[in-house]
Amino acid sequence: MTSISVRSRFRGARLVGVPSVVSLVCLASAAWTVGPGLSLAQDVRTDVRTDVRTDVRTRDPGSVVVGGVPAPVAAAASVAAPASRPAPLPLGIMARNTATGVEVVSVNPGSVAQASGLQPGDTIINVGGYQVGMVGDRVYDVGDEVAKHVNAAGQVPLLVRNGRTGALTTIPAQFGTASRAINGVLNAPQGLQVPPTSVITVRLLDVTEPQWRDVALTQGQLPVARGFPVSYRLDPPASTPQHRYAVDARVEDAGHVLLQTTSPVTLASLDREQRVDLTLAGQAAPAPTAVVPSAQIQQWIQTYLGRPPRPYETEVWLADLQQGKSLADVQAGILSSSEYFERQRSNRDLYVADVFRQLYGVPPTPAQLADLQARYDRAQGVRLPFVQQLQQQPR
Amino acid sequence: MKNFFRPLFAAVSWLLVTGGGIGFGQVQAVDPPAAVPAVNANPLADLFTMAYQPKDTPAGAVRLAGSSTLQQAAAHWAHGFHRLHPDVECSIETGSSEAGWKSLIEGKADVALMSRPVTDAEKAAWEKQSAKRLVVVVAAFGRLVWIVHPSNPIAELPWSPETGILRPAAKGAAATADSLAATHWDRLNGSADWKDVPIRVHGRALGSGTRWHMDRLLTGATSCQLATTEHKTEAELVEAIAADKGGLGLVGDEHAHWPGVKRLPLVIPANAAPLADAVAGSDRTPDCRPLFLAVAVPKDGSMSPQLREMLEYVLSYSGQLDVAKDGLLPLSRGEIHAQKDLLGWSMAR
Repeated sequence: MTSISVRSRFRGARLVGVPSVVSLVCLASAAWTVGPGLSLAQDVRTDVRTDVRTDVRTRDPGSVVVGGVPAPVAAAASVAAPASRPAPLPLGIMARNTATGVEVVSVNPGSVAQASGLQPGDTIINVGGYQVGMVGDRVYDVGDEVAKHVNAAGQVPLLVRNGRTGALTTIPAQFGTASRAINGVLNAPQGLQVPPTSVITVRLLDVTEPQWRDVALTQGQLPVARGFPVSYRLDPPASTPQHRYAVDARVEDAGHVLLQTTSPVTLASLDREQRVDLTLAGQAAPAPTAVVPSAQIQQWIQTYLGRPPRPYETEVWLADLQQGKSLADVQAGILSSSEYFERQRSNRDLYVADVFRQLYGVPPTPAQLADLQARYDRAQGVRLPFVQQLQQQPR
Repeated sequence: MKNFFRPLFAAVSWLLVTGGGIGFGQVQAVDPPAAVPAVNANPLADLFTMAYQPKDTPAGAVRLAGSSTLQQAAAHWAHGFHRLHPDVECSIETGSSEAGWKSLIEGKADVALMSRPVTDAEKAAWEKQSAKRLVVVVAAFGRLVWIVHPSNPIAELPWSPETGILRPAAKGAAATADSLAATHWDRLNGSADWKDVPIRVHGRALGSGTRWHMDRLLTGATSCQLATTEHKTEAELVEAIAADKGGLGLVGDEHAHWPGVKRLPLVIPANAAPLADAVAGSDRTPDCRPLFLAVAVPKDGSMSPQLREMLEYVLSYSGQLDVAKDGLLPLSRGEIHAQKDLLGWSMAR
């Protein structure tokens, strides 16, 4: 497999304002930018003719971009896959937003900010000409603006008010061209076919503590359109000293995990570019009797709340599954929602009886109802733990 | 509105930065009009790079108390947070914003869940009683929707920050329906057939956040209280409006789809000034109700590690996902940054 990632950290800025029509023939590879700092490439021969418009803020949130060429995202792309925000570039400061700009509180040794001459007490007024900090009623984040306006050479001018003299100066912040990217290839068992609606997710995880199984610092998603192998690239955010990091991947369809890495692959550090190949294992299709999570969630919403899911409602719950929650947690979430409670007229007795009926298919006996009321009161009327406890008791 | 000037400022300052070496044409090319969010755009999509990154492994307790509107979000926060920090016990006590505030003042809660802003009187009382600094941040928004009887021909409710919906005659006018410019429906829906139908306001009990917002939206800056038929639940309120031809009420968006009522959009003038208590870093319209967390911070600035981690969690993608799970609106990136500023947190950039 030949994999060429055409994504550049600075692509958006370099091609800004150059609309044109191109014919692009990718003989070896096509790559998708699919989220903050992630690109994935697949063996493919593509002939694309389209209008190139590359400013990141004008991209259609429903599309991904190949060097300025929009390509459609499958409808299954979830809440966790923003398409338009570039990966942040750390200046290496602690800062505070103010009405006049971003006040530098401290500067990390060895950082881009220190090399640029920024000092505590300075105020960054604008980045590449764009105001930062509190502007009217909104906050414009300095990290976001740096990522948007850095040029192809890794430079971005900062207009800075010197904290000691009050003088305005322009400081060119220079980001290193050395990449910290994590890239590699995703492999799956040979001959394996996954449904074309499946989605690949690659995550950079903080695994410092054993219970932090799903603390994802960044991730990206891509529809599995053309099979494996697939190359990927992650641009990590700033790391925390003493923390440990790992990469994992999975392939999901409608909330089903079909393939995944058997365990996250631990990284030695996030300070340098590194290659991490990942091997996915599992089954290409769920058992015929397996519950389809997205369909199950939609059914619960319809049954418990008496209406179809709202836009993105199912995706919100699927995103919760990606954070390590279970389908039982989702069910408990819907059964304890404010909306469900209001449907029971915010009445404890009606509510506990109806939750019981939904979970067990029969109304509670008088003795069971008394027990439910006592449990609800012990939970001080906080519904989520009440439902979770009820789910766990033997039927 | 002030944001209108941002591109102009950008162009001028870019010239300053570059010494004029780059022409205006290119400057304009780099700042096309902000993309209009698609209808039903997923508000969480922009938050993914704001993942919760634990800095600490704290132990101890975090006690939350207050508004039932935030109960479910708080329960999700507690559940998600405890999975990551099993040595932190989170307790939730729900009732009203008033009760949460009282618990915070008495030191029985670490976080007060508030579905209305802290009043000036409460802030003044806090200054007298507490040696700690009060910080109030927004954790979510709830969309509010006006509802009327389905036979009412009205299509929308014009609103202004000064006079609200019902246009009180003068600031400080007596708090009676008679003092209002609009007392009968013909003044609002323009139909002579409705001139004898009085506007009957249905609301939640005094003290609830929804009621606080309803009174303010109805009467604007005059802040007078209206004769209101009170209901214990939003379900009861919806049913009352469905049975009352002259009824007008305000409910959470998640209840406005119930049968028997007609939902009305609030029409806000394009140049309306922000409300006096507008949320820092936010340009949301007044039909979005901010939901607050009030915390007491020692004046030396140090917060307990478990409370700090909890607030970091709430103001992250994970915490905002929890908010969306109960039908509330998550914060935007800018709003999250603004809340962190209020907490006095310097942010790594």
